[in-house]
Amino acid sequence: MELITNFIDLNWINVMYLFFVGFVGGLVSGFIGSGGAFVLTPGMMSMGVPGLVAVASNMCHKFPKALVGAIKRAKFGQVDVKLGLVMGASAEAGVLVGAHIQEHIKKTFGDAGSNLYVSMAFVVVLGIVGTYVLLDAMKTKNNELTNKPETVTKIAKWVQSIHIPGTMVYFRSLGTKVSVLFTVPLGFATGMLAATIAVGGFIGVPAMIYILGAPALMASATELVIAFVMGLVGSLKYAMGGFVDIRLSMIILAGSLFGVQLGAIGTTYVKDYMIKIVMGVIMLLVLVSRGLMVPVYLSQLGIISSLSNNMITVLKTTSFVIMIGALLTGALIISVALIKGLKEEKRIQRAVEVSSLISKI
Amino acid sequence: MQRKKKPLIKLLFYGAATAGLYSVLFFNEPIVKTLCARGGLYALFPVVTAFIFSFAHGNFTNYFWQTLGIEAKKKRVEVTQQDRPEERKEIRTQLRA
Repeated sequence: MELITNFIDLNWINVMYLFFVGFVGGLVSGFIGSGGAFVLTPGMMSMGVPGLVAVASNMCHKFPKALVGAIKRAKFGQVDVKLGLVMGASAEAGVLVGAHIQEHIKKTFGDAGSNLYVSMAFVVVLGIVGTYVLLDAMKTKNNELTNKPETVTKIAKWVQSIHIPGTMVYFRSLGTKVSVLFTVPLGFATGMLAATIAVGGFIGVPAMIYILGAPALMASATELVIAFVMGLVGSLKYAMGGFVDIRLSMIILAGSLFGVQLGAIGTTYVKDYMIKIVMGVIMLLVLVSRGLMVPVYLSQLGIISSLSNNMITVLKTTSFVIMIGALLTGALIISVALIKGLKEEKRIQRAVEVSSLISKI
Repeated sequence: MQRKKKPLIKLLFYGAATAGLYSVLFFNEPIVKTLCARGGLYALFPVVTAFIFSFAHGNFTNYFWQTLGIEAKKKRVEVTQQDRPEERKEIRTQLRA
């Protein structure tokens, strides 16, 4: 007997849309460690998928994608599995607390209150972290041009200098021992953000770079391990409630695995600062997108005077378009870097072949 | 030639496996929907499915880009002045002497 489900009927347009967004999201995710989720969830909801099913199905495509990406980048020597697992475990706790806070806000202030909380989290976190990441990317780029080595921040130096007996663990990406008492809160914050805005990597990656002192390439690769751990446990939790529509998850996965492989390959052709540029640009564009929605929720809560329906539609559409634009901009920067890198690689290969031929003669 | 053939065979193998898996999933939509909606221990169904699909499709996409010639940057040792054969010859003469 068939159960009555919340699962929608699929048509070709829906399938192609999910496949394409999956591909672009995968590309960005393979490169900076996370991405795509912030477009996929609202995208699925606009197709008529209930919110919870959209979040659950999105998560069930995220963990296999992160796994494939992590394996690929581990082959390039960019993954710190130990750091990923330690941060991943504490992120789990963060997800639970984050979800609990969400439920509490929803109960107390309703849907508009919950949406306002999510948007404000986007604006505050992305505003502070995104600006810092982008400014630092510019600085690192200048350093690269003048051949200065990438510097570890003062905070990271301090964190690495603190020795707390019984809590010290050696992490390959940091090249030194760091107390887990520092990694646990960072993992926790990553999880809380993931439960709130679906993209924990916006805290996880910058935290690994600036607070722990990991190189950007390794931080973004290690984020994939954290995403895998969080995604697997989250998917199991949602699946137990019967919310995962595996058809949706597998369509997104079909596109995203093409993307994640390409994004991972792209990282081998770029310098560290490119990861920061892509991340910073996406973060700031998403910030604008979510910022546009704040007046809508404020008016729904009666905090400001109510907006006209036309105005709400314009703001909603602009917000969604900018969000897709953020993902496409990231994908474009990655594609350009990849194409340039591949061309340069072919040129070098040809030069090597010619020189070996000459030496044989 | 041999080197190019191998990824192509693997690409076709994993491509067929992926296509097979997706066909099974979509030709049995009612059962799949029911299994997903049940919850509880049936949670293992979507999670295990995701693992199986990611293995087959992950390999397929890997060989797909490889066959197209889009591969990671190769780590290579720069050919420098010291590596040139003329100089090695010189060293040999010195050793014989």
